[in-house]
Amino acid sequence: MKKLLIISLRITLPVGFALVIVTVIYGKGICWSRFLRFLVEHFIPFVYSSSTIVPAVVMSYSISKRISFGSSKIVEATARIITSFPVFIIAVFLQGIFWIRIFHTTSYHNIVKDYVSSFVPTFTTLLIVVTFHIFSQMKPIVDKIVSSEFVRTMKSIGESQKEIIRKLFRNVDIEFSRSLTYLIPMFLGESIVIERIYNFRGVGYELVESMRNLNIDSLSALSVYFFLILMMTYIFSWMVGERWAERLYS
Amino acid sequence: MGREALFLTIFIAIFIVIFIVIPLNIQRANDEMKEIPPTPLHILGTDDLGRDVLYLTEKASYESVKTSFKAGTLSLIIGVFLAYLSTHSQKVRMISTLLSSFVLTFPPIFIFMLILGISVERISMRRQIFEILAVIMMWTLPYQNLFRRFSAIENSGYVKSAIALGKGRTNIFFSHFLPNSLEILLESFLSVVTAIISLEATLGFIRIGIPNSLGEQIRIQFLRSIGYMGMLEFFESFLSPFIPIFGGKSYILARVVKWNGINMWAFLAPLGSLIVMIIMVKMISLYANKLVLRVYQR
Repeated sequence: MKKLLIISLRITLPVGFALVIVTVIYGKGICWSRFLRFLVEHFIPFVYSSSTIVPAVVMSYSISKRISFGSSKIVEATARIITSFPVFIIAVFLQGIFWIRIFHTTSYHNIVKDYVSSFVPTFTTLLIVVTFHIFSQMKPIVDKIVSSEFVRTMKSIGESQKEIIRKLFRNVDIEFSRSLTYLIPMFLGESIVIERIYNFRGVGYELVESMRNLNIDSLSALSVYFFLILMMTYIFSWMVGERWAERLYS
Repeated sequence: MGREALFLTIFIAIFIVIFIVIPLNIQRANDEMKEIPPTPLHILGTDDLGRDVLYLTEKASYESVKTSFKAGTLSLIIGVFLAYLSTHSQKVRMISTLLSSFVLTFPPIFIFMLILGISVERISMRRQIFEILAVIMMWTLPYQNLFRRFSAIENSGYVKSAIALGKGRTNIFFSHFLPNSLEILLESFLSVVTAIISLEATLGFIRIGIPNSLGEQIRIQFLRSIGYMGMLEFFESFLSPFIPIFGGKSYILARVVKWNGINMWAFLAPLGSLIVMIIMVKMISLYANKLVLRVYQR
């Protein structure tokens, strides 16, 4: 119960803070009808934008687990480079590879082509960045568990490698679910920059645009979107962490 | 000389060059000298407005380093102060933990965008707003790192003996807490500085950062030079400034100087400056432990 209270405080306080900043400092109230219309109208960009994050997290998680066993120094060095620099530098370098014009105006004659040409580099850049971020988070955890007494005991008993890996992954999963609480907000922030660079019209792009136009309704609506994502992340992390913790080393 | 000392020396040298040497040779904008190649007078050439690229890069780097060091120092002081108070005060610990979890909940870039974005008309105040926000958002990192160490020191025999002998809290802080957590202090400070430099550059790149900062310079030159290129042109443009260094022919040199009429150093110099700054700070933080150990050995 106490944990639930802390989680709800962690979620509601920033959203309230963001809404207060938007409404009070800017000095205009929210037009609720426009606000609701914005929420409905931008649900599809919101889903698209989230769709670039969720598969990226899932894929990179599976890749990072595999890489951890390989322990390649090149992969480690790449991860260190990618996690050290701001995401826009990586996007600038990848821009050349994707052969796409950045900050171009949308052509209404071929809107599908434009959308695809902006979705692909956004998704790929996010995938690369997220993969190496998670890898750099997961590597020490896996290393720690591999050298733990639990694994060494299992080896000495004569358990099969498959069984050891199965139980090891279970312990990694718990740490991963915990780290989601700070990984997801970080990726949201990165998606804002990447979407802006590749002109992908997701929520991150809309956030920058609405900020530039000082659109109070869209800013409030986007705060609510971010609130929803964070709420789901925290609740998922809490539930999974609580449930999986019971089967730790089972 | 060890590697850590070498990195520190290079960093200090860059720091001295940025702050002392280059500002003495200020090159002003000149209408007759647009997009000229690197010359002894203009080491990296000039941009489309006839401004010296080296001076622009130096000025932008100075803005970034000044802001990040100022905000980093302030957030470190707040983090240390709260971490120390949290070790022997239940109320401070509770409030600090709640505040830090509150700050960590939202992505920093979102809060920065929200506040800097709505203060878009007050460009002169953006620096102050950015610094205040950076302090508010970044104090959690030194706080969390230092709290564990401070708690361990608080429960150690040395501190308990000092309290029993009737020494003051300030005395204990300076004689026990601070010397025993120097490497964490240095590491936290450098992490905060790197985070602020990256954040500032990112915000500058999406047009809501500090005026005349590195991010803004990179964005302007990026749009001017490679914003509308394809893959081959992109790599060609990246390679082009380096070709004359390795003995290019005259026609290549002519192309380098004006690649589609653009001096590519105008984009590469601020980008390179940002990358070098981040690498240097990261390298020093990697060797923070050894640096502090050397201090003890003396």
